[in-house]
Amino acid sequence: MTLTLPTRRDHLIGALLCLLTIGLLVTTSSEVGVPRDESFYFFAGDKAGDWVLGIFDAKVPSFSRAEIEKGFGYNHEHPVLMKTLFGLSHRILHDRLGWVDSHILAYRMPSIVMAGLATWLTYLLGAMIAGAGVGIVAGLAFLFMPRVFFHSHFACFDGPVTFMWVLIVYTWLRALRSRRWAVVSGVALGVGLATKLNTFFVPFLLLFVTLFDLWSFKRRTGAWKAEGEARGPVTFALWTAASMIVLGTAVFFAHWPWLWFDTWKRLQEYVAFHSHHVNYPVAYLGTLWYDPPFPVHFPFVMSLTTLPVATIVLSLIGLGGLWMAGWRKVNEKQDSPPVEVAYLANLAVPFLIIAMPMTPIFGGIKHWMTAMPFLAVAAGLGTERVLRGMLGGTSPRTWAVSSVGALMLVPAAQATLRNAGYGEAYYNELVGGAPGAAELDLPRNFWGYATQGALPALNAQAENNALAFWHDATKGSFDAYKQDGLLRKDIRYTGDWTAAYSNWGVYHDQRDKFWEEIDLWRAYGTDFPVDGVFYEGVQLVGLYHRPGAPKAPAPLAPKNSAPTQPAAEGEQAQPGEGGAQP
Amino acid sequence: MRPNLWFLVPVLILVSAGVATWQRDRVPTRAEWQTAADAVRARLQPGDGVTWAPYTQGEGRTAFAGLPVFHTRDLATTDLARYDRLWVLGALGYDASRLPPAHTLLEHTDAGNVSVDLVRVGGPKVVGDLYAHLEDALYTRHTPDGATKLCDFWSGRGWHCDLRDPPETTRNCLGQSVGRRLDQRARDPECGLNPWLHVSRDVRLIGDTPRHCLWMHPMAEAAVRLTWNDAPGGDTLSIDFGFSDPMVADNYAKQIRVKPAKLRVLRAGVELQSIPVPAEKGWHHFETTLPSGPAPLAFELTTTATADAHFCFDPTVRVNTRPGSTP
Repeated sequence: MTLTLPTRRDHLIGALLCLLTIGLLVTTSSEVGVPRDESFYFFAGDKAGDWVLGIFDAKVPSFSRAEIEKGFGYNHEHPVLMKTLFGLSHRILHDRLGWVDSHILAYRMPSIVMAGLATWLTYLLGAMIAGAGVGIVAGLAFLFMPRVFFHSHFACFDGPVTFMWVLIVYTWLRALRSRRWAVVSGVALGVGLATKLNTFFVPFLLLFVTLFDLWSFKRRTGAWKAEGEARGPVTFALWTAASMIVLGTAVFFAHWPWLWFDTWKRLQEYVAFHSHHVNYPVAYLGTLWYDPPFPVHFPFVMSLTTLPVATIVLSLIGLGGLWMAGWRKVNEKQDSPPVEVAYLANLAVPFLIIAMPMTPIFGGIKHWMTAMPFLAVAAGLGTERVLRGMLGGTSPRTWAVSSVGALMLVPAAQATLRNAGYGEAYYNELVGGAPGAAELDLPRNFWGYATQGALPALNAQAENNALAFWHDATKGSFDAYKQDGLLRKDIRYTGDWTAAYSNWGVYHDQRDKFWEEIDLWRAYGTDFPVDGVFYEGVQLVGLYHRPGAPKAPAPLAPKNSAPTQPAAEGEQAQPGEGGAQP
Repeated sequence: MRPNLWFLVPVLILVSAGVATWQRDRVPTRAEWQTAADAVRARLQPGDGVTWAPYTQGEGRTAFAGLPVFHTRDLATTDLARYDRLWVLGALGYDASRLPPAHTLLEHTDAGNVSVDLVRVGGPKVVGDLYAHLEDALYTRHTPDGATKLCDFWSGRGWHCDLRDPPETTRNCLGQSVGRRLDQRARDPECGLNPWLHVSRDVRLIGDTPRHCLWMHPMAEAAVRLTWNDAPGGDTLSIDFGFSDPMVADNYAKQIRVKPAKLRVLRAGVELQSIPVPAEKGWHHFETTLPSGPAPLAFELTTTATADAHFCFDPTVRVNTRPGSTP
């Protein structure tokens, strides 16, 4: 496989796929509830956004320590690029321009746009190595991954960092033979680091591929350097490395005002937070995992059960093709960059990081979502291979690859759009859908996102000024729903651990939190919800209502309180036995 | 001519899409669960129990209010001795056929994707149920210095000691509105009652399944004893027991503090059995033959560590032969 530079037509197709992605995400955003993290980022986003807007206000000393701590002190364990964009988007698109009615959607727009751009780049990655047909199938396969689509809505970092990862790889691919792109790749890395920590791993991965490229060049030409005035891989690799080190670091520090003061101490805090991250419990194949070592097969099994079957089948075929092409390139000493190795490594590394036994496994597929664009490219390649096989070895035309690929991805599209609001609960038919996954004790909930589906029932049934226990969802999400008119204003939030002090309970079904559902049963005197959110019959949210007001217990005297059990001979003596004294 | 195997790929994808559709279509709707539950409600008799399967099909629970429904993850090992008849609401291929052969299927009907099975329960029968008669039991604490304390405040769910306020004040506090209780939560969350050290009707997650059982928190400083003076006569005494799951297993290793306990069973003051309670996850079962005739039973729990010892148990007296059945 050779690397073909994208044409204007490629960018046009990529842009159309990007618009399609954005359109679908915007359309379905109202179905997607607010998980815990997102509610924190709404708050942090407004603060960061206000800081940026304050720069344009002469009265605000924006660059003072106090202003910077006001803007970035909250949630300072993550870089601020995305939070700033969330806040600016909210302040500008909603508050100032009024272009977006929903507060929630306004916060989410930067993530949604980046998801669109990720589809665009996924298309380019496919098109650059195997033509527009493969690119289109890759873009569609990426777009129609139910869990990826679901996570792409959130004003969180997982969708954006997926885009950033692909962006870094794309710029690096272009930089393999271009100094201009080498500079861009350094900026891309910096922006990636400013998005989420995951991108820290990309330069090491690319270094490995670069070394492979250099080795291939040496093997092919007998020299490390190109002849004469020509520039060889060493030159470009050095440019890229220098750019990534200098510009990557500079952009990272420049973007994050929090690091401008007490730099070393705060940087240490940042690293420490992530290197000692708490392990949130995860139910997986019958075990509740709290402590490492975690099962190595977790990311593989979860991907096999949560990606559409068509995508799995096509990508496995494509992966085989990618592997064979890479092998052939090495054996035949072909003169072209090792794109196969680059794609395979980028697909494998996010999986391998999570598969390491000491890496926390909470959060599921979102933590290795950065591999999915490369998996999607493999699906595109797989489609091309299948079609070529069906045609008896004749190379299929672009329209044929894209049409057949699109047809084979129709079930994936259906699954994605049908489950837009509950993508985290989606399981494919290999495990019998959500009911089968529940029987296998696989996780289906994620930090209180599913509340939204219970809001209509709560609004319709709750008495005035009802006291609602919100369980795993946050006060921030409660307020966000009210702000968007999704939750009645008079309904009150009771706080954490308040089942006994509420009339309504919104329980988010997670196995590690089952005992908290039972707290509700104890408090309300009933084991059964009045409503809820059920996905293929499986509970995501149980909506509970206290059947009646508490009653003072009637006085009750102990019956037969006089001693009735004289200590028998031979009984093991227990001090105090032989008579209860009222 | 050799078949072109590449055509199998789209066929496989098509088949998988068909399978996915079939899987979704057989999941019962809420209306189907409601219809099934209403059918049971219409013919419910005293002594009937109701359950559903598979346990993970939770949507049916929205239709179960008011029915004597119990939780089970496995029909084959469920204790049905409390019931004369059992209704099994099944879906996705689960039905009463998973019950042991000691029980007899009386009827099988379908309500859409939900099957309704009526079963006559065989095997032992509960004749004495301490959970149902906790009001009649005595909760006492026995310290090593020989002192005995009777815990005689009834909270509505169980017996308590060590009230902070006079009983009437405590009762009034417990009867306050939910809003008032929330307002005073920070300074007085429990109306002066100890939230842990009492004996009460409870429901706890034990062995991965919610268990309706009697909460009896052991104490390092004293033996706690529950005396059942009105225990009826029967063939066997059955006790299911355990510590709640998050306290012994499903938690971070560094947070698990529970130590093993010991449950002594006394009949008419004589030790019948001393049962070790392991600090392990599980709903453990103990059964012993009873001498004939009624006699008071007492359950005494001791431990070396009070922390997090969330013990719950379910003692019943049973007869081996059900009235009307062939011995």
